[in-house]
Amino acid sequence: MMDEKMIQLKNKINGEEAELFREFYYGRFFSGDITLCEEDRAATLTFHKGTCIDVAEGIPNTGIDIGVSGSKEDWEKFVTHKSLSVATNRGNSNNLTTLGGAIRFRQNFNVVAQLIRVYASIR
Amino acid sequence: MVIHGFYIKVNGVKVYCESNNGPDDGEVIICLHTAGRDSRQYHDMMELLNDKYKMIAFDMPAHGKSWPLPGNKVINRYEDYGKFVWEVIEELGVKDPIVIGCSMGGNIVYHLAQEYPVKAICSMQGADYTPTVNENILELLNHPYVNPQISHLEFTESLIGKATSQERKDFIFWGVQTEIGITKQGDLTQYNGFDVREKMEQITCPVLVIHGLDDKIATGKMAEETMSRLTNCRNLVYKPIEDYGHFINVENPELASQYLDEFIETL
Repeated sequence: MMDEKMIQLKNKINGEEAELFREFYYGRFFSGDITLCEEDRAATLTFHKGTCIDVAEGIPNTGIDIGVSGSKEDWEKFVTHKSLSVATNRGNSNNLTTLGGAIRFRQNFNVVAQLIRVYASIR
Repeated sequence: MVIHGFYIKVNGVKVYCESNNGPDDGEVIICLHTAGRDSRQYHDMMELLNDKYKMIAFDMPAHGKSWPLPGNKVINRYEDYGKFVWEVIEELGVKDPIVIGCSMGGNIVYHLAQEYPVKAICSMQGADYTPTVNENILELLNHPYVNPQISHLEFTESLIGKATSQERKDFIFWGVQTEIGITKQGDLTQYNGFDVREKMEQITCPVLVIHGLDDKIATGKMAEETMSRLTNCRNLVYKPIEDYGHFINVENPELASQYLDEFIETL
């Protein structure tokens, strides 16, 4: 999950996707970490006011801020629809699991949703 | 613009209604909006059909320009929702109504057909069983630290079909921005608890099911399972629509109106 894909994700979210991410999905208000987990692999992207300033392998030593996890099959299902709402709707199968505090996650739902939608486009 | 608004009072609650001033001597169609939204969702359909049918859409309590229940309460049980809709119909003096609804409105028409003397129903994006919303999302719809008009944006986005025009998407997104947390919480609570499967065989009136298939939460499969339980209705018409989604009355009012008109012609 780490390495080139995450660097590519950082570049996209700071580049061609930046305006949509920061404005429509309210990314400009987000500072913190978003951890993405697939199977036993994890990567964390650190943001400051909507700009991704760091990418690191694994979970931060301070613990998970917010993020999502899933199996390979869960992520493959996500790629087919690219919606975190769909991927967390309890009527659906192969859902992703949300990480972090429920309030913090809900406050930043759109930010995570758009980040992993962009990730799905390069996965 | 043919639409005009007016108020009625139902159980002491001021209810805002809109009509298209359609013919007085024809069928009357009562229109029910989706969760958290208001009667404006029917403006396009009302204009498209105003030469043929009188259509009345109204804002449920605590939605749009209607007052909430006493004590600023909202409806959060589908039985109360259905009862209130019927009381509105009675207050309007409409006999033998055709009731149409989308999403939670598409659900409640089944309950109405089970419990009240409707002439016919049209369910858009409805089902007889919808336990789909996560409990923690319901709780956080009315929470001091979470803004529902923003936190629920991607949920609404996920429901819109890929072929919907940008102008209509904008109106749907504007709907998110206008939602009231406690109202949406009440709507989705009753939506989540909606289960009328055991009484589906009691429905005998004609039923039209319109379903935008690009809806991954109220899915086509849910609509089909619901129709499989409509074993005694006089006439069942199913009109799936490709590439459009959950807000089918807003996303593609042209097709929805055409199918509704064709259905009413058969009554």
